Amino acid sequence: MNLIGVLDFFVFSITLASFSAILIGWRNQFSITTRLSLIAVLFITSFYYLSNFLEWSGISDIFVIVEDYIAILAPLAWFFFIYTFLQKNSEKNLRENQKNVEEAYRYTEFYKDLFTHDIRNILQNILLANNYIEQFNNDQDKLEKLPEICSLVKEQILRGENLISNVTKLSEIRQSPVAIQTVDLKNILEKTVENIKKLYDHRNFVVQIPDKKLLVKANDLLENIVENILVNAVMHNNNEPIEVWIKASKYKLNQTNYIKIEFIDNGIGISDDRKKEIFITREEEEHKFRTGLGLSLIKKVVEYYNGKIWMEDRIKGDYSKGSNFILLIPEG
Amino acid sequence: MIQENELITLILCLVALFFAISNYVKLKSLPGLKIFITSFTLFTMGWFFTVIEGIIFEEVFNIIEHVCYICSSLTMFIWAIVFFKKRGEN
Repeated sequence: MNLIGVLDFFVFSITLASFSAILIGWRNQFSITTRLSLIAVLFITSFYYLSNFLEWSGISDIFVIVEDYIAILAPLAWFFFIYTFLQKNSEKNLRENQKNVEEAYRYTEFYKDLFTHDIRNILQNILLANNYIEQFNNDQDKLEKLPEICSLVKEQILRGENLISNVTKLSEIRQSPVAIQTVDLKNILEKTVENIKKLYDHRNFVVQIPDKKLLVKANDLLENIVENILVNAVMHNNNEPIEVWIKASKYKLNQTNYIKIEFIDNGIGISDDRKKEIFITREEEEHKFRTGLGLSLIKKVVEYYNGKIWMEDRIKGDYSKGSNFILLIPEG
Repeated sequence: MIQENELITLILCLVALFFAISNYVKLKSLPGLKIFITSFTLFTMGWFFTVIEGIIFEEVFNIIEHVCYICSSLTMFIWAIVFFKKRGEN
């Protein structure tokens, strides 16, 4: 056997090894047409090298007649493999782009809905308060109501501020998720309750916080969850004092250790019909019951933590006595 | 002497190689793309020397042609390994 015969033997063996490796080893990495064209590439080149080996080693020239025709097919098979791969890749990119465009459209509609509904609502309330003040004309009886009107205006401004903050947070979660770490729940509760008390200093607001230290897998956004729940408890409460009892305990569900956090209030409560809909995000069901952005944000963040959220009546069977928001956050 | 079928194969190889290089950016999701292109380039070079050997230094270019083929098949084998490794990572 001459040198070229030896070389061709190695060429054929290695190509056959590649061919076998690809045939045995792969699973659905490419589409069927791409796979078939790659098999064709390897089959044709293996055949061509086998023919070369047999010819140059002097064993047989049985394939020489068809070798030239087979050789022409080799670059065509390479070309077809590259072409089908590109085509399938383009289809995949197109599908991804279409999905992104659809998502962007949904978010545009969501923000449009948010601004046309909530912001208009806030501005209308402030306008109403302003109209009322204009009618005072130094009327002492009406002037007595001035602190109440000012409080209403302040509440609406806070609502607007909260809304903008929540939109920013939602956008942040969507674009670049914040890392999850171990955080002290007690610290977060104390800090948030203090902030809420400052915001609603005109309301008699009593909160009980658990005194034991509990660690949860969350991040700074947990503060926003607590803040949103407490703001809801204050805003939807006609009682004096506004009372919120926060309880925290260890809880095990489906082999996962959670910290169960309950926010029990004496507010106006939520009827059974509305309970099912309060966590529906607007981008999912924009025409359903409107809850404000707060609960959409809470739901998104809790899901991001791999936690759970639901609500119950404070007193079973009587929703009007207040609500109990229950959060399950994985234990830290 | 140049054989027509060898020349046609070389032209087809060059067209396919040009197509692959001109779509290099779009092909980047193919695992081990550089190795894959190298293998095909070596295969094309093999055909180039096949044509050249018909004009000049037949024996020398014949050996170079077959060396190109062995290099091409080796890189193809490496590509197959890289391909599985990347797929495993995915």
